[in-house]
Amino acid sequence: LADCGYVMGAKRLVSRRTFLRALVGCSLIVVLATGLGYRYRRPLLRRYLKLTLDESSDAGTLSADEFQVFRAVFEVIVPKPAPSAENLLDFINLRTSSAKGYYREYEDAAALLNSRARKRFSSTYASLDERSRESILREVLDGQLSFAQENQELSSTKKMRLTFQLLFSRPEMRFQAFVFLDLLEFYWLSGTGWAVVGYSSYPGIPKDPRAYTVAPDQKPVVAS
Amino acid sequence: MTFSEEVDVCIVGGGVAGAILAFQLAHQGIDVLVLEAGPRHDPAKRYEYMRQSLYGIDPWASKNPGREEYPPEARRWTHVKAVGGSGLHWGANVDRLHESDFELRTRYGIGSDWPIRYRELEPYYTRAEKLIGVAGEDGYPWTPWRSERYPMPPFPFSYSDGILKPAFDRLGIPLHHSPVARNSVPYDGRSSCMSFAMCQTCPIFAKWTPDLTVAKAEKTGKVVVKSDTRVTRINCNKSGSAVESVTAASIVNGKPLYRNYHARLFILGAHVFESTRLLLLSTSASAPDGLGNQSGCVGKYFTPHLSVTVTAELKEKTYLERIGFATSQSHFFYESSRQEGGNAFVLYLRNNGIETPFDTVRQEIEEQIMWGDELKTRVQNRFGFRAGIQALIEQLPYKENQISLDKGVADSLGLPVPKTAYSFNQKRESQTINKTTATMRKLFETLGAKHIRSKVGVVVSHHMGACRMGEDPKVSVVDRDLKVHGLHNLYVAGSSVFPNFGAIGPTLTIAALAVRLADHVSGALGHTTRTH
Repeated sequence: LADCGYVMGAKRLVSRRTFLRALVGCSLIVVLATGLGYRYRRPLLRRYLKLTLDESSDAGTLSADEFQVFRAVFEVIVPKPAPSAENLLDFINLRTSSAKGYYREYEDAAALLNSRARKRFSSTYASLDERSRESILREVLDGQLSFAQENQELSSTKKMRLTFQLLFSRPEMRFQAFVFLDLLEFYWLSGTGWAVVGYSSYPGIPKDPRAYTVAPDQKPVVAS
Repeated sequence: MTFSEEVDVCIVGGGVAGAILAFQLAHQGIDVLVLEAGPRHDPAKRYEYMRQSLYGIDPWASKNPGREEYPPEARRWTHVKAVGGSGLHWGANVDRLHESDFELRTRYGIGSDWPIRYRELEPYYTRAEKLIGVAGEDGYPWTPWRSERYPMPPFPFSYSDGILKPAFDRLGIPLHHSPVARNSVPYDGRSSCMSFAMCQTCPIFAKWTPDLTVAKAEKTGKVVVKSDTRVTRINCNKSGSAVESVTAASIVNGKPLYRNYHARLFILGAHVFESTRLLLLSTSASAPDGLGNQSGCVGKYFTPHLSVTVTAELKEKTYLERIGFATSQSHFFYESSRQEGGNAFVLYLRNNGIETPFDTVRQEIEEQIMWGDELKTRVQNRFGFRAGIQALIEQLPYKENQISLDKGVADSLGLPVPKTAYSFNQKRESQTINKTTATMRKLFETLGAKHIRSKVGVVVSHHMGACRMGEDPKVSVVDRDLKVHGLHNLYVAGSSVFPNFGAIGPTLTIAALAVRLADHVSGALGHTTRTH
């Protein structure tokens, strides 16, 4: 650098003026990036270290092929007999078209499962047998900690694992947090889900107005 | 009535206050124009909305116009912009404020006194209860006195109330029926409750919602409601002593179409956030800091309620989630907690929102991922034993808790959005949170419960203060008649005028104040007959 130009061997690669311009440019970028990073560090970190729905993404309806992926997942994760595919389609359509951010999550999840299925079985997820579908689900979901992110009492080992997963297993975690959980919610809040825990009537259907005053196997006293 | 250039009264906002005012004034022969920023929801869609609500979608608030324009911090304060307002998704618990709430400074040296007393508001509480339909039980010594019986008998105690009651008895804490704006018997042309347990979207209108009253008001032919019409400014005369018109934007083909609406008298009932925002936005030479803001009080003392919920696993099944509201409560600690240096609180025994099968599923899979029959067995063994008690806690008015304009963020019309500064870590509040938590834990311990968990929160749907009522214009925004100081024809309705708040949901008091304001306005406009 004797003559203030960057040299390699005897040959000058850049002029002094270009070098100084590049130096000033880089310095400006570093200062700007540091400033922006400082100003927005919390929102950025929060966005990256927490799974949230992208509410600015489009709403929409899944294609028939994409829906088949979730029908195939659903058959694996709920007890038999599963509610009809029509009800499931109805629910997923409601979710992806009315709740902001879900359409993208479902689309990404379908792509994730199909890609795993192709890699392991050279097939789409929906056309696999139930055992193969389950093994892919295990591969994607086992050990994922997305549900633990709200847990304040997490051990430091689990916290580290969670951060690691947030950085390196993001698609799998998003699938777990937004789609897998959503499908379970559909089942366990449906009449079939309530029936599993012994409720013949459940939120969303009319009941004897006094039934809530007694245990389900008792008859309510009629008001005088 | 067809809409004319100038009406008697222009109400900004078609929620609880706006609906009741329009209905009352229309029956006085007064022409009313209601400008509502949000849409008109089709009552025939209630079943569809209930289905959405079942899966965690708020069918009302999710359709608020401009909701996504607010920064997340302001968005967390839930409210509904629509004909019917936040009264569309309200919980419909309708206790009255206690006498002491009106005299907090006089009795306890804290907060502020209201410029009116309970005895003055009591007849309006009674009229409001008849108007909206309230089921409750009279004669409890821990609740304020009443001049008339409740319009409907109370809902009976629930099965789980009966399981928790022995613990309350053992600790000497009396329980009583919760008054609710739901029909325990058919009332006012509406069906009685059929226990859908989805009260937020009651499909049979057994729960009162303001859109029902708006529809009745429109039937009189004296009321015009313009939905999807966003008021952006209040325009005063040159001297700044009276409001001449409001400017509102309707979106036509994706573009705002502005128009001025004239009236003899204006009432802001646009919820705490938007009423405050409008006053602050309406600056002029005579009001450089916004209307009614000579004292700098507009936006100050914004306050929600606080809440602690304690849940536990009991030895027997509780069978919750079969009705959508609390049937038991206790006001026992209301005064004693204040006497001990804390704030008032009311305990509610929860019948819902504590444990669905899906909540149990979440607990299980948080511990270990599983599904299918394995998960089914686990859920069957674990579900149904939880119970919950919730404390609704008073927060005192603090000037630092406030709503202001965020000059750096504009909505689609180019107007600054509201922002809040808020905390609840004050000494009395912290003490009350600790006391309520300890009390509820003790109740569960008395029953030998396991896995007791507590959760502290802010009731983000109860917004109060920010345009407080008072005799002294130096420390308040509106006077005892709810008229903005310094302006002879602008009024504010709603919970923004509360000087302090008790531990009571705000809606019944909003309704009572609206009935009272309707009487005052009809008098001011030369109509003397009492309204409904």
